[in-house]
Amino acid sequence: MVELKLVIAEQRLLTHTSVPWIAEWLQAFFPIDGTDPVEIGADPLMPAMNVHIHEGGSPFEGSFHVEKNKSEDGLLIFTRPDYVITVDPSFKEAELTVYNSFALKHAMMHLYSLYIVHLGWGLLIHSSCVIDQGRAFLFSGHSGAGKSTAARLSSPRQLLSDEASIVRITADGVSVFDSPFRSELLSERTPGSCSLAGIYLLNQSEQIYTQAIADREAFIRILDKVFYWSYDSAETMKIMKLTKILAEQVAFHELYFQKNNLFWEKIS
Amino acid sequence: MIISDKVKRKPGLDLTQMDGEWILLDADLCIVTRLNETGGRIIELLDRELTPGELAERLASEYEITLEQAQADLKRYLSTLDEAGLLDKRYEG
Repeated sequence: MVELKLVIAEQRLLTHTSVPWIAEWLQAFFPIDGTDPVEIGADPLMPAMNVHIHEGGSPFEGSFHVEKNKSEDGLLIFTRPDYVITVDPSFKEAELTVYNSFALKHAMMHLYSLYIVHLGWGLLIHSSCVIDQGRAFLFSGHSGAGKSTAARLSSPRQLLSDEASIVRITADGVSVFDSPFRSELLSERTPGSCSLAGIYLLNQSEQIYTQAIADREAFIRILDKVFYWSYDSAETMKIMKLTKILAEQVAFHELYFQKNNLFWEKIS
Repeated sequence: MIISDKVKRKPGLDLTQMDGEWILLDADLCIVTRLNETGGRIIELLDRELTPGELAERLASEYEITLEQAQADLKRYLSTLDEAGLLDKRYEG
């Protein structure tokens, strides 16, 4: 049995697995408390959640649809052909069964998203995020809009995410943490968090310009970019409230851009 | 004809304001509904458990329209809310 204490933003997940490839994958993609060369930062704010990970299930069938159920003893169960997540409602203990590394990555994202909403801590948002002059800028949009492209074109700026940004949301401010949930672009891990200065919704265009988006429009536009699998209306309401704070705290813009790095001239 | 039963919004709905306008959050159905000022005001009034007749009187007074006009507008609006599953009690206009 391999035990690893994964560090994701301000949360700790204590994983237990006896499957070698699972332990190797976790060590490759997550900072491990106590062993990672990068200074992780603040002490954990909360006790680690125990996550037991097994191998099983069947291949991914092409649909991201997840079945949601509750067991008789109140456990939450999320099922896709290639993974199953079982978690207790207090999020102290979770069990994952995964078919392969693709399923493991999705199951970990799924579990983490549920966890940070349960804590009222923040949201996992389908976007890339880049640091420029000490401030974080998040790029989102519909599938194929250019989230990864914008991230790639932003080099050599530090990248916090290229697919799923970890966004801490409070009434006093919004910040972004380095995300281990990467699509293709790996980068040096960034310790701590970075204040979020703006969210840009991407549109590919011949001309490069930005257009401010009003809070109310921003709220509705970003809501469907949150990675979440609703199982309870109280939790869904938490997402809606967190998203509303995000829209009120952070400036949103449409960004019309070409596939080159000139768009950074329009970002402030 | 408007029935005299009290009409309420569905429990669990959250009415909030952004940019000075109303937004109705339905966490059960994961639906966000944008409302104009009057629509938001009616949803607010639904918390007070008024009958449609009492609601129409309030609207006629607040918006300085005739009672008949308020009744007609309210009837249409409550039917829309009902169709969207946003009322606690079935409304029969």
